[in-house]
Amino acid sequence: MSDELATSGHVALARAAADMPVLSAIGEEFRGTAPLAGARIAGCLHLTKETGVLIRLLRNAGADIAWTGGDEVSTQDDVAAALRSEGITIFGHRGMTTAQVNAEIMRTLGSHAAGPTIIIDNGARLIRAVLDAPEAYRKLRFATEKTTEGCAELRLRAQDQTIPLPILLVNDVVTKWEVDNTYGTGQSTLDGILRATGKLIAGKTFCVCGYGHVGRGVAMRAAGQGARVIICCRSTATAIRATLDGFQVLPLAQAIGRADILCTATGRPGIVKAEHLAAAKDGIVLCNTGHSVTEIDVAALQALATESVAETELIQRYTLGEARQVRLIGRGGLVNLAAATGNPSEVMDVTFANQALSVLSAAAAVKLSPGLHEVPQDQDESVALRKLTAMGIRCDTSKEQRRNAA
Amino acid sequence: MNQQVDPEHRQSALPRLERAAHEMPVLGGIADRYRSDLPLRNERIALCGHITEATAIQVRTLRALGAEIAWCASSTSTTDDAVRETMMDEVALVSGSRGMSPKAMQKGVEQVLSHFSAGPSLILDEGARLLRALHQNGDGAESVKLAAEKTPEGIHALQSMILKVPVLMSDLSIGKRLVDNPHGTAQSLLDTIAAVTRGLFAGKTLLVCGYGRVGTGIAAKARGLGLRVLVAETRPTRALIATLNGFEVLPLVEALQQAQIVLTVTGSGPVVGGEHFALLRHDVLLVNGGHLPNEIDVAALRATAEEYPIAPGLRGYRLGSGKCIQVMADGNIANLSVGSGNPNEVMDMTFASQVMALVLGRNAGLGPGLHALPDASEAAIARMIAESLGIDTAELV
Repeated sequence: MSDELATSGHVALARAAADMPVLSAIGEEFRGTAPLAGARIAGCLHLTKETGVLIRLLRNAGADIAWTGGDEVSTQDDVAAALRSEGITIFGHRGMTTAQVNAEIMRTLGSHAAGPTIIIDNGARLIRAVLDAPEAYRKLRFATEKTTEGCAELRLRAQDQTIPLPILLVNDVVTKWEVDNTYGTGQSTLDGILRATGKLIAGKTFCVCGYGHVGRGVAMRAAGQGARVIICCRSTATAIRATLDGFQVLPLAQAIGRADILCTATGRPGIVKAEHLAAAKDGIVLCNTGHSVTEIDVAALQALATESVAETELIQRYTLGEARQVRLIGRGGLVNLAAATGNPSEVMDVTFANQALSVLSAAAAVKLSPGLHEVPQDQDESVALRKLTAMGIRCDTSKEQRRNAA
Repeated sequence: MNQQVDPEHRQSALPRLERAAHEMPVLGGIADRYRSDLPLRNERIALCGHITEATAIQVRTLRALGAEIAWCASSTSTTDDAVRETMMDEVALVSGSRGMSPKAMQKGVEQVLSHFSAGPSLILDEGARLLRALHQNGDGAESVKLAAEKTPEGIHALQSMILKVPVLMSDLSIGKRLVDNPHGTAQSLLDTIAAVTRGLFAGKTLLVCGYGRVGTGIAAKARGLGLRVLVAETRPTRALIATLNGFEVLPLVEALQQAQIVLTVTGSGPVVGGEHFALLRHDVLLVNGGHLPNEIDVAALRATAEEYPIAPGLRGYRLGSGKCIQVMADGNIANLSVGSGNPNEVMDMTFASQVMALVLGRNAGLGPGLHALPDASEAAIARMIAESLGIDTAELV
């Protein structure tokens, strides 16, 4: 069984690697050397086939790795099995409870007897534990964080607390938040909804909560498929942007009564609450593509329901009151990972190229000062140029840009 | 400056200004809110900006808040002469006329700076014309508490200067970023091309040079009009975004060979010049949407080709090969020079950011140098813009 899983995982990894030319090229650049020799990496990032390609690159660079997906539903068991068969330490599996996820995160952090030297994080899960007890992680040289929410939290913490180690914020770069969030997650979210429900999008009223990089991508794609899109958001500037992009902006309490499909993409917990669920339109499909499972209050939904039926593996149907039906995809977890295969490998290529370059350059740095570090603009441009070149697109570039990307 | 004032036409712009005021509710809201407090009482404002209906409403708002104004044109080609004549009844100095020489424009800048005997206390600048002159003059900066610059070109110029005064970068205001650049300027440039050429868009090939805030808006709207859109861009990140939005990105010299309309919106210097003209298609239309008239090298074209008129705002150049090249507005910023400019409702938001920033920032004790707009004024402006768009901000969660 586990052999079969591993074989399927190897196939998936090979396919992903073929769609990740930028990351593969970075791996080729250090072939024969070991730029991460002696490094002990603790990683917490959705364990998909694309992450697997990144993990292999880090292993090939000489690092000793312990990794967990840090998510209830996103771990691809075949990829995990394949990586385990290559001697890499992987914690967790698909379909964990939140308590299990947290336990695996702590196991990952404690996996190296001498403690990790590098942390690669998603949502500051490992970093939070380190900041709570920094004296226990003295060997730690630096950490990276790749989500909008994680970066925001760390910036907030940095305001009233000294950050004792260097943390690279590998998020606020064009190649991450536009390419990955808007185009990658935008597409894979629609993909997940379609795979889970098989619904026709055209003519539906599609509500998106949040109009950041992800929400905008979902809204653009839903509109492109013929949905009437309503945006719910809290920032005035965001509401202006959505309005001028031609979308109706409404409070969630009103929008949920009109929506056939509602997707949360805010990155914040507790968006769809009991009072909203009570006003939901009969037949509504609820899903989440924000950062965690907490954007839709699933506990409140369960409490309100008079009946709850698993229609399919992916869809739970709740009956509210007499006959109003609400369908929830993937238990409120990330719809693109639960019901589809996550962001396309070609997109993660760009995100993980930034991640890999950040780790490699930080590892090579003689000294990194403690505190938060942004990705340098020229690395962003370099990754974009590598991607354009891989896509066969030519544009006018300066000699310096070509040298950086060479 | 000797400005001809025709008494009969002196108030000819009044009805238009009335309509403009109606289209600019954010500035109107600021005027109403502060009319009794007069927060800009005793302030002497030197203002350099296009002499248009929209700026006139900004000037009226600043006056309603108690300020005195001296105003000069920021461009030789964009002055609405009727607006100037009407506004001469309301402010002591308005300097500028359509088609004026660069020298006359510079004289207006000096006049504005020397207008107040105690010197200006606040500066609203465009293209850093006032601020450059102020710093070159050696003295006169002592009276200035705060300045604001609203173009990226101007901010770029200020970055290389040792500033004696605090300057707010109002180019980065919420109105400019979210509304003015991607929607206002983008729409008005396409509108100007349609109005001046009276040509059909659908099926034509448009090259957008520069995929920044303006270029992104143009490309999206142009696609909706049925144009085939090509993009030339030197920043790989922007080129990648253009590609992912479904636009064809090409090196400039290749794109120029295909384009029927070339629109430059880089905001950063020469784009189409000498060696490019031979590559262009016959009857191509060249349009500049950047603030400075340096994106298309019209002088080089003039030197080598025979010039002929086509229509108001449009000139043709016949090369030795017989190929014809059309240039709009002599390479000046087209929407303001030969079109009706950004919609007033858009300029409302841009100008309101500046006014609010002066009201809330003038006594903030900012040191010399470039500064972001005060958060408090941007938040207030965002709410007012949202309300002007019919968004119920109280309900946003």
